[in-house]
Amino acid sequence: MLDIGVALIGNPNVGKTSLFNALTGARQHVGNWPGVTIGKKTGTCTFRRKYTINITDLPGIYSMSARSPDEAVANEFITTADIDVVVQVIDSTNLERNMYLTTQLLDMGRQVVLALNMSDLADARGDTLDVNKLSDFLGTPAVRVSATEKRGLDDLLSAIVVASNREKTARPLVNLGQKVEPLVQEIERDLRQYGGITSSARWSSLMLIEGLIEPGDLVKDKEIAERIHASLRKVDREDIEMAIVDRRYEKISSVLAGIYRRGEGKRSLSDEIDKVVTNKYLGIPIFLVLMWGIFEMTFVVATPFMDAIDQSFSWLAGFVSENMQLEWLASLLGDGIISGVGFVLVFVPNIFIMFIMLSLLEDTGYLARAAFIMDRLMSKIGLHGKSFIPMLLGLGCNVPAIMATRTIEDPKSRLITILTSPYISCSARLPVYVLFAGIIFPRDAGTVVFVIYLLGIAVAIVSALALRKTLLRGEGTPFIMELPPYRVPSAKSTVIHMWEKGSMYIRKAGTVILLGAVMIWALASLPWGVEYGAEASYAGSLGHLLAPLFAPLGFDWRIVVALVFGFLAKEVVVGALGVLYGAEEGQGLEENLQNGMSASASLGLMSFVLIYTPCIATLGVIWKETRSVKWTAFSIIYSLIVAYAVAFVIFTIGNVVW
Amino acid sequence: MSLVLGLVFFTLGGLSILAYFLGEEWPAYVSSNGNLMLGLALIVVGAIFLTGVMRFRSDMDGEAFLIVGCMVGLSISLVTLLALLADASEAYLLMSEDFVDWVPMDDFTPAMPMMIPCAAILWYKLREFKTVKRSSS
Repeated sequence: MLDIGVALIGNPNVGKTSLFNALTGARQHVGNWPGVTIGKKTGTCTFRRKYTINITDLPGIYSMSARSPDEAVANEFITTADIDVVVQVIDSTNLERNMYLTTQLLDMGRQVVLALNMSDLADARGDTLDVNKLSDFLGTPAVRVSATEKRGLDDLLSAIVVASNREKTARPLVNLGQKVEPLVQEIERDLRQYGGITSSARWSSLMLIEGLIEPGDLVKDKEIAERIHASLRKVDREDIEMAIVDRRYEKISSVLAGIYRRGEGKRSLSDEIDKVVTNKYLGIPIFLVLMWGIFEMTFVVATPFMDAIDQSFSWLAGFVSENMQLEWLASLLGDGIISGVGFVLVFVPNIFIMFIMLSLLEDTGYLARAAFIMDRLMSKIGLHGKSFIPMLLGLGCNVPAIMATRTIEDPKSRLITILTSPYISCSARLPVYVLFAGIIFPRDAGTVVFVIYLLGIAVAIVSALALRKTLLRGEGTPFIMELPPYRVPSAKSTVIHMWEKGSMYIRKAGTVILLGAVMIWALASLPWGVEYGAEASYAGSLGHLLAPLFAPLGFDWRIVVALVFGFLAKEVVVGALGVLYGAEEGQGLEENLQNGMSASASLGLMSFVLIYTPCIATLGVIWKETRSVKWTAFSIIYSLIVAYAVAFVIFTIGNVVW
Repeated sequence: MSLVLGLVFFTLGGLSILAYFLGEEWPAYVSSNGNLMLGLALIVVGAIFLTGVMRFRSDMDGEAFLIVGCMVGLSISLVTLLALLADASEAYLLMSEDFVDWVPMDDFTPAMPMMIPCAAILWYKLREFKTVKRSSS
């Protein structure tokens, strides 16, 4: 078998990951909005039983001039990795903009193969393109593919094999003109004299001219480095940069002039829908209506499934308690594991329904519009719509949401987004809202859950504003985002997305939640001989120790114990409540909570769970992304203070209202 | 068409909000059970249609508002219909104690029948788009 190394590169949202999945059989997450892939992914495919093709999928970039951390990943890989062929995935409906990157890749001396994806959409619009002539003009193979329909894949793999055998030399497509070309060649001569560079001399000189790298970083010979410095000082670099961009686009236009014709601008349904959903006045209300619909479905439609699961676990717990000979084992299984883990699993239908709805919004392309309409609001607090995408991802889990901030170029904006993303309620917190809203506000449960989610967005926005005005002062950067066309989501991809996100909840039930339930059971059962869940147990002692701190919020000791264990994972809060409240004789959990919690304390608790210290996994990723103990500690302390303050205000006002 | 749908959705939303604040025990098929958020959602749909009317008058994009109004209206109708089906399964499949006296009319809101005109208009309009696309290729 012959090994071929391939990198998939291209603009955001052109279908790189769809092509990666189609070629390798992987199931990496794809989404209809820019910035889904934030790190590189690798996979393998075999072709003609002769070639093993190792494929690396990279984050989307518009050009090789990296600005944000995710763009840097792609840039560094293409520049330094030992790969045979670079496959640039191109959106066939937007050739001109996509080919800007092509001109840069050709300057780099990489073997490039163009995969003209979304050719079906271009055909539907009436576009015509002579692919053979395009290949001839560029001197590099171009292949029509449709990743979603798996068409043209064999042709693409054949082109990759052929390209891997060609000599690697820079074949610059663009003559950069009288103003730039002499300077490029002058620096190229210096770099060749130095000899120690890894990428093509032409590309390295262009990086130096565009200020993407300093001469001293690239050239260790001081004399040559100084000569390059002197050459660069002679020209206005901003002027030169503009000239390079102009020349590249002029060349692209001249290449496409005779071989490409864009279909007549017929009415597109995407454009028609966008006129309304991005409307200045109606955009946000429509977004809110859709979000309310999701939470109404999450609560109301899931209820019969929840009840069915609840009945099954109640029966199981009763069966175990009655039939186990060993009392402590019966208690561990019945009161600890089944009550704790089972009570968490009751909320699986809610989680899955919420994710199926969010997957539908994501796959249709609506989430990109949500970021666009929120940009107006975000820009007022010094952030931009790009910061809203990680926040929306936070509805699933805050860990990928924080990782998605790598798409944000400005370090201060990125840090603000990292610190505020945990206030967007993740699915782990949903069971607490569903539980309390269902018991205390049965008539308006869906609306209460929706309001709690809105509160999370409000806390995130206010916190971002406060950080921007105090610790992280700075100007926001302009927001440019391409709105992808709406697509009808396939049932398969929607179910896969739902399963990817929802199954994490089930996996946690068997690991961290099980561990939490056993720990709480042990604390509620020990010291030996104490009545299970009594105030004299270790759990009771811990709860009573901290309870005075939380008395102003209306929380009793069992709530406090549950919140302490919520540091592990927020799902454990509900599991702990199941173990501690379910332990009281004669009454079920619902009756116990109804008797023990007022409406105002319940609302306060829901908001406290929403805001207080992120779980351990989220804290870990905050530290990893910021590399700062100071900001990680800030996240813990600030969240606790805000959570306490908000819960106190809600509890106090609630006591007056109810 | 936009005007009629806009006024109907506005009225239904208004009734739901009114029932919420007055606390009157009107039947669900008039008041949508006094659901405040549903009322506000219906008013947003009404506003989309009525904005469309103004756009039609000035010969701009009115059709886009009609299509999106139908889409959002249909989504809300589906949510209310699924809520009814969920309660029906509580009452008839799980035999839950809380649903012993439940009858389908308890959950029947006026938003549900609105899915018929919304779906019909949407189907017609989307067919128009498909025809345009086919004739253009």
